[in-house]
Amino acid sequence: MSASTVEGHIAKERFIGVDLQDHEEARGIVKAIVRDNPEAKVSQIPGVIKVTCHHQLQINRATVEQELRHEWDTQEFNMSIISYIGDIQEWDDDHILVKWSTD
Amino acid sequence: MARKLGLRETYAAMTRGVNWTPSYVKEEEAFPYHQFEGIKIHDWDKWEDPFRMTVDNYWKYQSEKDRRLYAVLDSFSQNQGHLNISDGRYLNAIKLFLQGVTPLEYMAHRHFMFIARYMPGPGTRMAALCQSIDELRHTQIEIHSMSPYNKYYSGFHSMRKMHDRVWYLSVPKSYFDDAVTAGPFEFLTAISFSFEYLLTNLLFVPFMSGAAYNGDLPTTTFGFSAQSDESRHMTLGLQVIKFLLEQDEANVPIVQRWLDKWFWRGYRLNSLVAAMMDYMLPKKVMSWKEAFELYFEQQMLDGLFPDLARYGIKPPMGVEQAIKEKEKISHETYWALYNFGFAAAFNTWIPTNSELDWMTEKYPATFDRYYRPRYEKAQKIVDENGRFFMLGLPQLCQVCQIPMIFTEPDDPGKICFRSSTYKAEKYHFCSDGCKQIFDWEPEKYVQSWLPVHEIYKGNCGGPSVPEVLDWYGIQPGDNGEYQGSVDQLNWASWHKDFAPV
Repeated sequence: MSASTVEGHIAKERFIGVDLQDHEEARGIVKAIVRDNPEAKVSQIPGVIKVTCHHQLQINRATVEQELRHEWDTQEFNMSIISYIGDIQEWDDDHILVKWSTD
Repeated sequence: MARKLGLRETYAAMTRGVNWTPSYVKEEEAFPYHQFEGIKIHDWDKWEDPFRMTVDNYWKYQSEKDRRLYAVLDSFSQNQGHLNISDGRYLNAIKLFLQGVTPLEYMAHRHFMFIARYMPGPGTRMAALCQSIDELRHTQIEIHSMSPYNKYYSGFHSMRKMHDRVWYLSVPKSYFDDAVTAGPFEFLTAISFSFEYLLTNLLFVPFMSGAAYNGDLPTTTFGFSAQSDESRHMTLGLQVIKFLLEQDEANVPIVQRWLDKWFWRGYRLNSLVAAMMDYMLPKKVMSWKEAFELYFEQQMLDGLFPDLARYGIKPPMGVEQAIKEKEKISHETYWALYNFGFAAAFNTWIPTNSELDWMTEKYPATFDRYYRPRYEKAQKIVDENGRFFMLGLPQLCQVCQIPMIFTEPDDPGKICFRSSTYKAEKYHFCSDGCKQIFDWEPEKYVQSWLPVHEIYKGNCGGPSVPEVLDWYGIQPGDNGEYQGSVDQLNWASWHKDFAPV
């Protein structure tokens, strides 16, 4: 039984993404994500900004710093993230990469 | 001056670099608990923790999170913030959270400390140590965030006592007790993976977004503060599963069994969340059905499970039934809470007409046919003879401890009963899933502390309703109907001078 054959379930497109708090810094991060991941889709529920992509979502420190106009440590992402979907494959000084292991 | 280490090197130094092999005692004496479940680990160094949280960063960011939260709490209290929530009814969702979930955070704190001590892998221990401290922080910030409401509203005063005694709170309590009495890898699969990764978004994101939509500043703020830690916990959960599956093929069937069990246990627990989302939020963010489709079906079934399929892991037992039940469980659960509301430490009410219309729209296949008539009848009874309650005691499921309120997967008109006989005693279940879990481990579940049985055994304060309520710690006003309750009358008087909206 694969997920797509679960009875009663209609499979939809696979995606990965991050859910961020709707606050000033996160809005800058979202702008950076959209710049670096042109397919990124941004949606909102109260208090939450949801950014999704189909294959991978990369956050680059350099772009975030341009958007925020100050230095930004990738670990500061901890102050914005609420949840994510996918697998965090890389998180180093310059990048955070979310994707599934199989594509 | 020495070059500053990068994130990757700092994390390696912190987890692997400070680890040592015991020499005064044997390895198995220092770490005696990680083998009896049959899980085989060959190389603990294969453990990866993508968050790479180190101690200096941990304190730095956690203290910043707390500073932000406590500034909000002060401001909320100073500005009489409780008057600005959407409606007094809303806080009943938060009472349920405080009574049901906050004590679980504390249990998680305790057991992750155990994991942090007893797992042989240093990466696992570091992740568990951070999580243990997180969970203690969550317990504290939840109590601090909700305490401003305790001055003005009923039901917030005795959550710790209630959690151990009140019937519907035995559902979350027994869930967590089941996890901490399992072995360490089953605990991690249950809590870190099944709860924190597979199902957490169904609990927290709708709760917190619901709080944001209903003007509940403290809950939104502690919720998001806690959720940022939760993301780290999700990573631990996914890492645990991948690590176990990659270490040895023999781990696969063991993990699959745990997944089957803990998906169903967690899903049943979430029926309380479903009732909360659809019925207790005056301003509704999304329906349970929509949340289930997004956070479970789309994100987990379509997203995660193809990744796990390469290890031979299948979607968990009961998932087809959960999909069928998305049309029903919030309605069946809230109806039970409404019926037995005299013995709950929160208020219940009949949804307003516009709320009933919202459910008709969200649940076109079932609501008008099966559930709307019940609430219309309940309203008729209220209008003619006053509020009714079901004063008998319900039969409980031996495993999930929810009253037998759920219907057959394919027939919303028929209550689902299952049973098993073990050592000449008959045990009752709400579903095939709960029966299967019992049949796998009957010796564990024959010991369940079932609130109804305990009342009949004379262990809950006495034979009468007032005696049991007193033993529960429920004070007048905590329970029963919202309309005409202490909270409703206070709310109306506090808002009588507000401009009408």
